[in-house]
Amino acid sequence: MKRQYLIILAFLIPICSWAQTRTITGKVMTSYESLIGVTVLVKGTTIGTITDIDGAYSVNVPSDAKTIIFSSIGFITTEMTIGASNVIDVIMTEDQISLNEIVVTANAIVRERKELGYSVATIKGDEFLKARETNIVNSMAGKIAGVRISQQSGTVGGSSRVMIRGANSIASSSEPLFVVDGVPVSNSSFNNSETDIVTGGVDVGNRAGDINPDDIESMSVLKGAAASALYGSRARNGVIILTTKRGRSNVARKTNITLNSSFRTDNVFRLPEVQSEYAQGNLGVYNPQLANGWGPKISSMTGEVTDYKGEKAVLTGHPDNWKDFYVRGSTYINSISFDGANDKSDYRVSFTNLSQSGIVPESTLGRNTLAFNGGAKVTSKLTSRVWLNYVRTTSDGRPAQGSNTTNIIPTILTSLPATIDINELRENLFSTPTQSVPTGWTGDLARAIDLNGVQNNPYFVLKYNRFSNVVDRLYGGSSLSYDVTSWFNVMGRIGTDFFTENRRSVTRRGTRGRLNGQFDTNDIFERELQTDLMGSITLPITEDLGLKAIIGHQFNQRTIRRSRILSDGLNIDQLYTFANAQSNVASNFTSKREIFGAYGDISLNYKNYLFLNVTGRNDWSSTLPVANNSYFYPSTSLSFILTEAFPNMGLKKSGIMNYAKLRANVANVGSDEDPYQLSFTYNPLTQASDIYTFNILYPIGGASAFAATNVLPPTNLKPQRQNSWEAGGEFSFFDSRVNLDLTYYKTTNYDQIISIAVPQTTGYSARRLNVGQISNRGLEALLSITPIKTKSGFKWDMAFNFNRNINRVDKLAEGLQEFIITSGDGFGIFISARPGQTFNIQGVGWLTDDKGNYVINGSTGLRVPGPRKLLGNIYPDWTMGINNSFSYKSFNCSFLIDMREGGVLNSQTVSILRGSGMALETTENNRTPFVDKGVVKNADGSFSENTKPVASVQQYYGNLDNSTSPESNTFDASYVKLREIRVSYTFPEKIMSKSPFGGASIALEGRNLALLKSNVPHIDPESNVLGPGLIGEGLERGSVPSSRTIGVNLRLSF
Amino acid sequence: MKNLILLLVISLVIPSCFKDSDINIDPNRSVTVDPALLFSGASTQMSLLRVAELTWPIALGSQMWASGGRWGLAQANYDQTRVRSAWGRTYTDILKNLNVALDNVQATPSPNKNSLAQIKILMAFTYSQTTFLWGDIPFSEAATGKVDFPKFDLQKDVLNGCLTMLDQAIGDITESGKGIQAPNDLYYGGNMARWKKFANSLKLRILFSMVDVDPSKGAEIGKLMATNNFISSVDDIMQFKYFNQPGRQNPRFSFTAIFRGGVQQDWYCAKPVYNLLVTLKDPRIPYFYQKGPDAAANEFIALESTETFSTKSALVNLNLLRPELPEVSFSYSEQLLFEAEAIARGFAPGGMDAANVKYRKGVEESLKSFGVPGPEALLYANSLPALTSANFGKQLAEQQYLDLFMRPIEGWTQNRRSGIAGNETPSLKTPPAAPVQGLFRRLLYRSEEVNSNPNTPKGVNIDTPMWFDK
Repeated sequence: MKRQYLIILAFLIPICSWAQTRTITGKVMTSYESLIGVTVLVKGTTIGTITDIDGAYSVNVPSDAKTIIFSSIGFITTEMTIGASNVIDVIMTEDQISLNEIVVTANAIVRERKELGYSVATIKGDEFLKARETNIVNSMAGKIAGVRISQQSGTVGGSSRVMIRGANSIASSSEPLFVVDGVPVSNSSFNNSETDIVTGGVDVGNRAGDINPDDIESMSVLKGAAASALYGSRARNGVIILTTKRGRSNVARKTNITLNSSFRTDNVFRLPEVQSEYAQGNLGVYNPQLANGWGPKISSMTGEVTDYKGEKAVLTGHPDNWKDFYVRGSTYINSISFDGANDKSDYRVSFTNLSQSGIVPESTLGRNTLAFNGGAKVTSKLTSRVWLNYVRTTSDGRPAQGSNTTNIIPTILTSLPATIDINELRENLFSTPTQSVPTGWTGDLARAIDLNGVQNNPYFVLKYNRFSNVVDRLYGGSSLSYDVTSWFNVMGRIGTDFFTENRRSVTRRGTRGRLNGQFDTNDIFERELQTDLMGSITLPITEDLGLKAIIGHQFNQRTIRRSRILSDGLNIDQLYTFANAQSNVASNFTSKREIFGAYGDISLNYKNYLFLNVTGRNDWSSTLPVANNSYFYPSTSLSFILTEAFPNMGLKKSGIMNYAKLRANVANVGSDEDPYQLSFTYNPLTQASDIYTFNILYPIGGASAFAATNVLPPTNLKPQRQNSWEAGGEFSFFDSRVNLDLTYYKTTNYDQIISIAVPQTTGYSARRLNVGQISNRGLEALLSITPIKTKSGFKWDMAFNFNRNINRVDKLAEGLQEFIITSGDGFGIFISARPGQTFNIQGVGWLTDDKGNYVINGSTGLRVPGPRKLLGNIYPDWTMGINNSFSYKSFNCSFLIDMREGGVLNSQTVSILRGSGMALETTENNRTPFVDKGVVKNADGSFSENTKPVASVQQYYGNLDNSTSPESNTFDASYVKLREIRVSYTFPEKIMSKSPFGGASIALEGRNLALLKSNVPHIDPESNVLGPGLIGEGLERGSVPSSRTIGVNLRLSF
Repeated sequence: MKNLILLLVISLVIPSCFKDSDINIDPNRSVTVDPALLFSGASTQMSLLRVAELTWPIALGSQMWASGGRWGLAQANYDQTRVRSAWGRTYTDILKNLNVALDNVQATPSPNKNSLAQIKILMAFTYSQTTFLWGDIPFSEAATGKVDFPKFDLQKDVLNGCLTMLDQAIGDITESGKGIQAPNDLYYGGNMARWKKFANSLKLRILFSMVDVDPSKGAEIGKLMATNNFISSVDDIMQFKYFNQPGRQNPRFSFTAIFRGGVQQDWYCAKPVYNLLVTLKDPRIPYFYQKGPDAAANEFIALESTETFSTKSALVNLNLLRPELPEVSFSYSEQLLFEAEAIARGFAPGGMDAANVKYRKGVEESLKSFGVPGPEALLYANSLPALTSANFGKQLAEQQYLDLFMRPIEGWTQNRRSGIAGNETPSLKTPPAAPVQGLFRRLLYRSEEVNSNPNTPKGVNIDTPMWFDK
């Protein structure tokens, strides 16, 4: 792999004139081993070679040559003066900050970091192995400034959202583009409607989660538009570029075998604090018909009473119901890889098996990945490469979350009365005749947790009402590269990513709330095809000025097919066939879109310290009106290495600053539209619905139905645009003991294509047009310090990465005061955009007087709901990750602290816990009614302090419910978390050389370990039900809690 | 190598802008449609809103049913989030599609006038219902997509506009001809004679809502009565059928089935209706209600509108929430009682005797529609004191109100038109802790409308009376 890059690099150096030559030989070493693949270049020429497996080289140098440059990825480039001797041996030192690191940029173009006029973050493949995440996206959490990761839930294989430099649209989720080996791959979740998510959806994961971290060599994150301009349309939210591993040559053997084995265990990160003192009931009176905690003190109840089953029993409180419910999850990840290389070809084959069980009982995830990557040098000018990844992901028993179905486990638990022993429920799934049975019911019926028969036994739900899915996915590609001349290369690449996903969600007959049972079958097919043809020119213009130019063409096609059948009313219990259902409603959807792109990229290099890059790309999209479907967008960036331009500057000479680079860029990116948005259409209807979701299915009475579109189609639609600029610098001080990377950026998205709400009385809910503007500006800072570095090998590294992003909706349509982005649930809690604001949670607030005191109803003592208002920004003010790493010889220990300041979270779980009298705080003071702090409005309109106590604590908390006002359940979402601890030990060479192994390392890892600070009660402040598909965050709705992970990892190579 | 360069050149030329490409033609949707398919969709959506979203908040807010303290739907807690989608769906899913259907029919070389009539009648029904709920509403500029900010027409103009629309429709109908047929005509299966009867009955309902404020409508009622072509039997009822099949059940049943495992525990017996039934010794009590699980046999305990339920509280009878019950838009008994009122008030000839015949027949049909056996219904209807010029107003209003027990939209309108504010039948009082002083008299405009349409009227509260409600 390194060698490939080096060959390309070799083109960068201007050709020199003929001269007399002599041969220099030598050996390149690290402090303990020989180093293969080091580039050896005669300074000022293109004459050079690469070290062999023994680190040896031999190069013919012109007699007038004075210096040889030795460079290799991860090592400080070393210059050696050619003296009298024809032998030059070099010991290279590792480059801790990788200033000359090779970076994979847009379209798999390889650049040296110092050339880049924009900020790029990289994570090396080793990082993924140290603490193995099942979802590669999560590995970025807290590590890259400007990148925020939020997990939707603690579901096995759950999804994670990536947001780079803030939200770029009020109309679509700002997910970045994922690219593997130059070919875009899907990160869809097909779970992006409010009905799929908010009302009892399942977190089905995002497809980037299929990517096997073990096969990844490196990850680059392109944050700004200038970095990603060549990806064009789809890159305005940033790009995550993954490069898979290739075969490596090895001194000792032809084949490298690596075994990597991890075991991890998960438990619930945070359980709510619930009371076990009070029984179910109403206003202190016991009532087994209810599922709550508003009854009398259990200790005050003497003798036998009727329990939730309708049987006589003496009640006791069960404090550990939640704890006993969630189980210890486990994960096994085992991988084996074989790889090898010689100077003609390289290959790598790997197999990885992942097997996971979740913290929700009976939830499992399995993933098998087979990867192949092989390259061959067909002739001296023609090289080819083929890579393929086959992934099969299966899951079963992912729990439902959100609201409005009977299957939501966290909601059931939230109102589980303290008098019920959850361990008893586990053994008794079915109802007894003494419990409420619907008239005329025969057959198995779920035991309810209330005598009214509303809430199902959670174990019945887990065992019978299961969601399962299978994904079969293949992604890969092949490329051919041909050196036409020494300065002109042509590369062609074709790649594809396609998968089928089959989902099925079943609800058994006898489930309370869905008595007749139902099942939902969902088949998804998605395919992406991309071809690239790229010509690259590398030419010296003068001795000091180098030119690189790229011209390319790209074709991209995306196809989606989805069919879904909702089957209702099962004749025979547990037989999930269409013929067994009384009703089957089928719907299907297909879509196809294409983009042709042509691009050019010109880079100028002046004396290796001043780099100018100009790019341009034109896209033709199938989704825009023919008249406006061609759009061009340019970018330019500049990099200036101060320390190389002025080697004699004082700061450098005095040893304070050893490296300084300044960079700046400007870019504009255009993007297209979803397919099929341009015509006035009629939609076949599958159902009629209202807010209570009791849908009527067509055909009814034999009649099918259609409806005209609710979105007025656009006229003269233009491409959407994004302008951005960025400026920053990289500085190293005290021999790279202190390094600072600073970036300031500003991104403005305008001409957004949005379905903007129109008055519904027009007959339409929206009109599609180019409108609105949303911007992000912010600061990213990465500071790394090595406070201690001793000769004995002890080293302490600290890294701080900080991001402050200010997101602002600059403009909506003329006259429009608010745009509702996402609707939280049935009670009118929204994510809203208002001009001049960022995204906020909007809902009914408490009425206040002009001093901000709550207005209390003088007759009830309860707070009074007021008008709707913004309840808080959903995004953080700033985030910071602090990593501390200690290493001593082969021993390394590090811990990562992740912090967030600002933003809010609305929690339905807290609302229900309190409203149902199950939260511990509802028992304070023995539930003595108290006076809520606030003011009462007097007859004359003035306010005086409230003195009226609430009638009961139950009414007080009942009034705080989300449906009255979400304000009291909306909390500051700031937190400080201990995100990660790793301890690793690599067995030293001395020991290994006596063993059959080439290398061995063992690591202990822990993730999501502790919540050091939080203002949200009962739940993880990072909860977010909206997932990657919907815009917005800051809403928690019966979410499956997140988990804490501890594991051990063993890596062996042969 | 030459081939590669050739390929590069060709592929750069290829993107001829998708000019003649059909790639962006939607394979999932159509650009043409049979208007009958739009009609069936609009009908179904109309019925669903009436039977679900516009039932619960209105039945509880207007005190026809009681919430038992379980639902934030009662007037005490009413805010506009409870009726969230009905405003928008009325315009986008019903009226817009009817307008588009109308345009499509009219665009054909010889437009089918019966189809036009059916569409206009359903449109007039929808507009009249919408104005009874919200007062002034967009009408003349609504649901066409042509006006960005539709103006809000006065209720008077909306109702008069509905009458005009119905007159046009009646004029369009050829009873022997064909319009939108079964199955797409989910109300009458294409029977144009019945559509005409419904159009006349609907005119009568609209005129009666107006006549107290606009006495000139009395003469129009008289004229309409003279044509005497109304819903005149149970077969003529304007109703939308539901079926005991998954997805085709009456949503009132689905609510209890889905949320409550089939056990009714949401809709309680409210005192205003219960007390009236008791006063009238009305046999409908056990048909309207079922006793609470812990109540004694035949013990019906009613609640104030927001009072917290107990296990003894009586509930709305599950029998009225059966899956296959149709949604009734206009019943035979409602028609008979209107006719009784027209005669009693002297808009139509016949005097009190004729009014009494219609009155007793109306009560009998009403009782039967709730399941009271025929002989018992007849006996009770005949036992009622006869209407006199002194008492007919109150007596008729009581029966008209009870008749609409499962049709809260019409029941609420009936209550509001039954007397000047504070003098309605039955008379209601503002529940404790209500956010306003007065009674629940209108729905609030949706925030989506308020935020997007500058023409939305301001300063109306839920207790602000509408034009007709004086």
